[in-house]
Amino acid sequence: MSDVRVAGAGLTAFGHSPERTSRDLFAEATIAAFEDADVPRADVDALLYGNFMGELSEHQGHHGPLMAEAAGVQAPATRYESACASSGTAVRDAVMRIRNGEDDVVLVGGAERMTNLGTAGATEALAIAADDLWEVRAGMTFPGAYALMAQAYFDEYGGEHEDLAHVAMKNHENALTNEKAQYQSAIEIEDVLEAPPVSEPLGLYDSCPISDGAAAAVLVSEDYAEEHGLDAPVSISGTGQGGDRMALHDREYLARSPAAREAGAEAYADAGVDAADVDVAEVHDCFTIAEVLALEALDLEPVGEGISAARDGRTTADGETPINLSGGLKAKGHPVGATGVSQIAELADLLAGDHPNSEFVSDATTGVAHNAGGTVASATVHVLEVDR
Amino acid sequence: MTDTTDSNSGKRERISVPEEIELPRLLDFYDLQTEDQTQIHEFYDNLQEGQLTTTQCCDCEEIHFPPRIVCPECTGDNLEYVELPHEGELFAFSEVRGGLPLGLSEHDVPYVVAAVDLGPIKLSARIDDASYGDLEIGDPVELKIVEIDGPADHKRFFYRFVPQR
Repeated sequence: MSDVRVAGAGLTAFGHSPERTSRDLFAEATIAAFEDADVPRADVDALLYGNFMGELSEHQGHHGPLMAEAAGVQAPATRYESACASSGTAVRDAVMRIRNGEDDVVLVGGAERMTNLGTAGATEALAIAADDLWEVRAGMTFPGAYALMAQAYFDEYGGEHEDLAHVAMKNHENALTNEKAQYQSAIEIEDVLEAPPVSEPLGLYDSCPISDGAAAAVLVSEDYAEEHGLDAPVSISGTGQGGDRMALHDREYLARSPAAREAGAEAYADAGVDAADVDVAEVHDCFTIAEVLALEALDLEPVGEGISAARDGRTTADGETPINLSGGLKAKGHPVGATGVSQIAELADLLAGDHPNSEFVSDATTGVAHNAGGTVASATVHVLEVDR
Repeated sequence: MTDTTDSNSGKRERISVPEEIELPRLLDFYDLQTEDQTQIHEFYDNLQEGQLTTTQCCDCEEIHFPPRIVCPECTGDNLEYVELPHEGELFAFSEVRGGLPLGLSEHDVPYVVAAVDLGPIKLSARIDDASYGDLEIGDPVELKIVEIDGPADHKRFFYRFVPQR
């Protein structure tokens, strides 16, 4: 079985660009990725591409061949859709294809165009990640579902909105130097607590923004990297995927994410590491509470204690295990289909010393990327390790 | 060499797109509820009669919600409809104040939405006649059946809950 190396990655700026098509965004990300990877486009064996709402926002299906064309590659191309975990599932399949010898070079990526829909339209599009008949018709919105998780967490383990505000403040702070981030601005605790409520107890600043953007990464086999003398110090050494019942109400505990726990355990075992080895992580903080639940599902915090991690400084840039040094979905932005691959791109840069925030993890060897779909009915986790 | 001069400059045909387009409502997103339209019509038939029901697996005895066609626990397909309690407790709830998707036109913000624990199962439901500040986890709620007006040629039904008085 061949190790999988990250040869290179590229991102567009995340943010507000309603005029740009997703193929235009993806082309930009792939140009940056190929330049970073120093791999010729002709060597690509497959494109695996994540996108969630292209039918709704661009009246476009059949993204695989369209995006291969945009990227300038002639290879079989497949679209992956698993709501907000779309490109996380693409990464997982890319890793497995390279490991089993099927492919040597896989272009993996994703893009999403969202802001052209407006806020109500993008919210409508995001809502289709829930069970439309039995959740959405009952009035359950996406923020509403995470609000239920937050309320259930507070009820079961304690904590308050101010704890969540520290997650938002931390992730904005981390994004200050990330030129790809949608928000490169600091916020204070009061900003979060005084923001307009969206779905009690969560407010506007507990939520990630609506974003346009694209991400791409060139993954190669260890053999390919050696033969071509690539500078690719970061490997994807573990992959895992978990699933759960579609509807949030069907879970025994609303404040736990079994799908993410399953994905994490599988990825750790696959890489031969455990949670104590993890030095840095990018987790799926679509809402502030989601970061807390992710830390606990990944065993980076004991169940019931993740709520205080940001407030007590355990997950800040200078903490024991910095979380979302990119700014996370909260501040970097969340172009849904791009997010999973963008986490891999940020983490690879952080570990390789090529990220503005690399100084905080200069001794780190092991990083984790956690990507979740819907109310975590699907989740992928990847372990990245760097040669030191 | 081919002639590449603009052959009809100045008198090009114009096409136009309207500022706004009204599209037909191809779908409304509630289930069509009759026997020839859905395999779970019995759920809706029972709701019309005033009963909240769901499927139970005859093999492993798992009770599901929503009603299923195949049991997701044991994969058996020998299911029967059983009655659910019409009273339950708030398992968790929120008040939706903004961020309402387009197309949820039957909901006006603010409204309360909850996971309601009926004992055998939990379900998502809107809680009418209630506000966030007046509710606590564990509060009792009871079933309210609503009739859906909309573009279907048969009567359709759905469920909401209200605080128990």
